[in-house]
Amino acid sequence: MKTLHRLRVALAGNPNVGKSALFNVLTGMYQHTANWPGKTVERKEGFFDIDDVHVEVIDLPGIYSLTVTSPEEEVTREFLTNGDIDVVINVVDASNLFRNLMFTVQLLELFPRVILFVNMLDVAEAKGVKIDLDKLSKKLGIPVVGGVVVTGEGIDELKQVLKDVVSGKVHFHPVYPVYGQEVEILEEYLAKYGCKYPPKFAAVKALEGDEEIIKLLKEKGISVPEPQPQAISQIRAEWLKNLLRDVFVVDDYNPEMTITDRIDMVVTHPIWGYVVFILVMFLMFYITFTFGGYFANLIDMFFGWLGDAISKYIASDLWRSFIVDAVIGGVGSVLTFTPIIFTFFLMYSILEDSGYIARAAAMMDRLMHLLGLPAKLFFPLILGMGCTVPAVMGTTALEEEERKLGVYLVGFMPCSARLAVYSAIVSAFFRGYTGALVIVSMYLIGFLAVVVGAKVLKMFGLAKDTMPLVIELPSYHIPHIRTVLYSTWIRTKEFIYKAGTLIFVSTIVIWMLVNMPFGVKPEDSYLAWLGRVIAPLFAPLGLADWRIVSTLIPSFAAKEAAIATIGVLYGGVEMLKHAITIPQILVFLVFFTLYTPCMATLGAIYSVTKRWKVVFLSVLFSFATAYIFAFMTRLIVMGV
Amino acid sequence: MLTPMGVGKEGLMNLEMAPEGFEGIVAYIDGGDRVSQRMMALGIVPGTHIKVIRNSSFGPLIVDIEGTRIALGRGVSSKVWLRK
Repeated sequence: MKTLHRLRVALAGNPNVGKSALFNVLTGMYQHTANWPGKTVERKEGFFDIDDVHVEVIDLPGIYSLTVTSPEEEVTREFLTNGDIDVVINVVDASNLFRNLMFTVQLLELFPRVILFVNMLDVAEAKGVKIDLDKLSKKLGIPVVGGVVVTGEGIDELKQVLKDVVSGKVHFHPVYPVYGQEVEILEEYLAKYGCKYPPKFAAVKALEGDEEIIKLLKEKGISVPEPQPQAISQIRAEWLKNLLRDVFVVDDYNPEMTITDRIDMVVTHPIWGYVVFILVMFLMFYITFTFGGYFANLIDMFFGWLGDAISKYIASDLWRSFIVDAVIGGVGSVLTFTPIIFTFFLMYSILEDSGYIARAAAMMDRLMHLLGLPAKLFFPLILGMGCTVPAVMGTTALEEEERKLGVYLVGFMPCSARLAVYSAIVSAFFRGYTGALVIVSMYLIGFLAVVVGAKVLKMFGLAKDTMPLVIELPSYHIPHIRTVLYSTWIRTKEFIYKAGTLIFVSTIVIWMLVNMPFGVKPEDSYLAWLGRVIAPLFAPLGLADWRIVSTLIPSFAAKEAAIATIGVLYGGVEMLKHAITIPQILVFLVFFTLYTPCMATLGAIYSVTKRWKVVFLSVLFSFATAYIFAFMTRLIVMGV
Repeated sequence: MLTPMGVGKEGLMNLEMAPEGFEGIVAYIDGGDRVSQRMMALGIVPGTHIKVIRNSSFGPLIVDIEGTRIALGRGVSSKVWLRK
């Protein structure tokens, strides 16, 4: 049968209410992600059929309010105003009904065609909360469906309601709070003169101090009374409490008894909480790089084997090198990252879905706040000591404003590839403790660059001041496997698609630089030529040798390539110390630590932000930072 | 009717100073910026019942608002005033 009806549905609600799980249950594999125009906020779309109804679903970001204070809220409000949708499914957490419905009240003011899906009825029941859904539906004036997304309870009923929406059997007559005279006068006025938002919504938001709406009204020459956000919230809260009075019954609710509280006794404890945090961090790091690393190695070995196998059949040296090193090597380096990214996202999604990430952010807030960094950035920063690529991918967990800050900064943390280069170089120059000290210094410099970089980015308006911590600690629950796997898979796929091309093309370009013109000595290659061209730029840093400068270029393909390049250009890493002095190598190491991240990182930045401008700026920013830090090092170790 | 609570800060307890186990009512939130908007969105609204779950010199400040647990930075918590 062909489909006859089309229904466009948006999912809206607070974070941590099972909205994504519902989206996955409804749409299955038929979904894709993109970004909202001009934003790095993720937009998920999918579809499913109910008999002859084709339903398109848009999963809106999880938010707490419809007052615009973040890009997530802006996107939601814009979409509900102009998005051409038929109905909104507002997912709420039954165990947290009051707070969730505070959002619903605002939502109804903006968009009245709302179906309320009361999720996690089982959790509420365990808490001793019983909800009279029929009464709630009558009191709010909208259809209400209860259920448990993860077990599938209530999904069929929800689909039936959607079908009834299409056949016109469902009616929406929402009930609104009475906010008082000032709102009513403004509302009447707006109804007369028109506004892109519904008059009631605009009037309420204007009095809540919403900047966009106040500006909009002022442009129209409408005078807005002094905003009183607290009074409005209070009226809304009291109205809602009143409405809920005989809607839900709390049986024998003992707040001290929940499992969540028991876990939190340890997990948010001023001492044990940090022990747990360090353990979780360690496990996450360990599993990502051993389990993920194991498969990365297998893939690496496979491409190595493939290269060897194929090379026998190619007679031409040039083509053999091109196919094996550039093409197969390029595809290989894209794919070797995927197990690590997959493993990281798998674990992060589990931790996030279970509720731990919010606790970890709360524990780390004070320290991170002192450093001027967003609390949730600690994850990517720690991960960055393993590999910058998953670290950049990990910034997707941050809110848009903070994510921007994150992608510029995580590259400064020395990754394991950089550690390999330090070890090789340091062992040629230093003995014993001195060498260890030099390596530790690089980590400290990397971290210093993160902290200073955050300040500089804010100074130049490239990132906003970090919002102080105000975060919900959701009840712990067993992660929904399907949702975890879907989001892990989608993010990994994003990386392969978005970052893959860039990594592949860069591998080929770098191969050409190193190997062309084919068959000449290393010092006659294009790489050497380019090295000589850019060498003067490095003279102020005291690095006049074009060969050491040249090593920076293949390092763009992968940082560890520096070792091989030094080997080729100097005839072995050991020979380096005959050409380069100790102060020079220190300056080089500082520059090498901080300068332009490898192409896989840039690919990851593009995959996360989907904006070339951010990629370009991050190249520029890290190069400038590296240059300044290296110059200061030069002043210290070589004098003026 | 739109005057919030109509109380000054006399006799109010600042959330940052409130001991663990303290229970009271949110009286007032200083400032009208993004952060106070966010706090209200999460349910820290004048008139609501609040309980301090954790507040020690290390670690986070955690409160319970109508059954929701919320962690707050120390700086923002000092904007919240409570009464018994």
